[in-house]
Amino acid sequence: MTGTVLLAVVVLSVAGALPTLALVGTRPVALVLLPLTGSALAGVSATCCVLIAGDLGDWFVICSVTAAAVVVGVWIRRPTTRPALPDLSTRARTVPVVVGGLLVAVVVVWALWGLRVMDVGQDARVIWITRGGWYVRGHGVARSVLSNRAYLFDEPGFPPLVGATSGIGWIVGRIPVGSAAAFRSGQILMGILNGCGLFALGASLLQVGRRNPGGGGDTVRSDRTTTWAAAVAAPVLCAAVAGAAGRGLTNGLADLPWMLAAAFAVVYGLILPLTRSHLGIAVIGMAVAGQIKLEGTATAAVVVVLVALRYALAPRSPSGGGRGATPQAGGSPARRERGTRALVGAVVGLVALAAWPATTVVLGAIADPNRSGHRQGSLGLRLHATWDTLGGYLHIVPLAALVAVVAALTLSAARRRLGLGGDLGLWVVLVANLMVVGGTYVIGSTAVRPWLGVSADRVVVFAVILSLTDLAVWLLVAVEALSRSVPVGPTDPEEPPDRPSASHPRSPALVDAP
Amino acid sequence: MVLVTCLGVLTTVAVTAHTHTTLAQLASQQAKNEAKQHIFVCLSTRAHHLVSADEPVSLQRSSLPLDVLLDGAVASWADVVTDPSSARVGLRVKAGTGPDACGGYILVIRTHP
Repeated sequence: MTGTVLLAVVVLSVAGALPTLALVGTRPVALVLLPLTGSALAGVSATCCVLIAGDLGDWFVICSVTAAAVVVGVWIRRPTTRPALPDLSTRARTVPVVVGGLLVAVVVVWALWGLRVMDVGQDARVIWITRGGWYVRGHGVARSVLSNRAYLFDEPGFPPLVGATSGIGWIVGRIPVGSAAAFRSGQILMGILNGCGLFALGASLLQVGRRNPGGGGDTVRSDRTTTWAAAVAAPVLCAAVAGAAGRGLTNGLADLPWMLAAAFAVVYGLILPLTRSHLGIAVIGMAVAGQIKLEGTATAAVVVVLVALRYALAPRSPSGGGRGATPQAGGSPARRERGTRALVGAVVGLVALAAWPATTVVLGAIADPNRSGHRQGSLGLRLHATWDTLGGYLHIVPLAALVAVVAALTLSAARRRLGLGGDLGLWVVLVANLMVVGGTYVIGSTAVRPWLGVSADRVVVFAVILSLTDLAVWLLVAVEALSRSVPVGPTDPEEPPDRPSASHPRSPALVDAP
Repeated sequence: MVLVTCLGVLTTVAVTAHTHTTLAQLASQQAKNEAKQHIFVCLSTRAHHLVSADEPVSLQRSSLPLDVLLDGAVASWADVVTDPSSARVGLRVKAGTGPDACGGYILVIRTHP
């Protein structure tokens, strides 16, 4: 079993290699993004299989080759977009990142310890992994299941990524559809995707204070202190997130894969300095989160819009790029051009996210039984029950909000020094997600209390993850502020000569560099 | 204050989330999970023996918990049809014991004429 699953991860990674390299560049975090990109391609392949013809395997090959060809074509046409080798010249700031990365890896492995036993959650078996069998068997089956009321409990209209990724594992490992081995392999594959998402989230924190393009940096000490603090905070954040996720990390359910992908998309796209590489990582996160569950699709859509707005409104980098900037003529694009790019990116992203929901509407998929038919209970009663139940799991959210308000009032200068965007976007995403989730319970039709009883503890985890992430970022900002308040000695001889000077304006600027 | 609060909350969540369950609770939960896995795998194996993947089969619904077991056992591979008259066999799950039982559940096959 281990061998076949590893083979599936390799196949997914190979399929995702060139797109990831093009989007992210040659960074260590790209390694954990490879299978995620591969799974996003698997999701697209399942959509094509349902909508057009053929089976999952055929479309996975077509989509992977097409994506790779597009990347190679772009690299040939625009050589400046080819990824550069990673910058390892600043040992002073690389060591804590390596240490932090190793600690995060240890936490991730520990968090996935539950994978050693077969534990396929009920919904994973009935809804999520099950659908892989339809896509593997091809268009005829996948298309007919979509509108077959006999499959009502299996929710064939739900997005395809989990089933598609499991299906790729079955094709690669020649595992019979519907067998115990098939579900076990799906469980492990989802666990590995969760591990990749958790690592990417931890790695995002390691970027805080490491590079502050366009920001200040008059002392090395503060930079190193913050970076070392990030090396400690990142594994602690991962441990906290794993604790909040619980069994959901390893039982094949679809909640954590989208939540972790959306969470790292939020940090890379809305909080860390806007570099091409960070945008690329956010795109991968949104592509994964948007194809797993419908609330993930809605949340990813909000992230797309916010990232586009941030890109369009970001102030121009004063130096035309920080250390490691790609030497492009003209530096950052003009605001109007950025606005156009942001608009095009947002439209493309939203259209891509709408592909699966539109497919299910066009093909007449059976309605979700939880949201169709006669509504049980009044809207007021449902709202009350939803508020009560969800609130019981969300104590950390108001606490994090309070910290965010206090910190924004007292630490915003240190946050700008680190080149970080504000956390308003994170809170907009969090609130939008809770409104989608809560609204679904309120306007749904199924008896709300039993429905909440079997699912509320899972669907609120995203809000908890974002709250924890916001606290972790503010923790590092506080460390930065504290370290700046301590008198420091002469500049470290290891500090590179091209470090931005303290005279630069300190705002989260746009940098067209990986 | 922000630093202490953030650090306190993060470490508290990280520590308590992993220590609030006792080993006995974990063992009990694991036993329940394993029992449930066995039920699904057993029912699926029995269904594989009774019908082939390309044979239309109808599922007879009774109650949500039993229907979930039935769907989890066959939905990914069987050719399930809505109209029972278009299937040669119908399947349903009921509670019961015996040599063919799967953890307290029995897969019942009904052959249509």
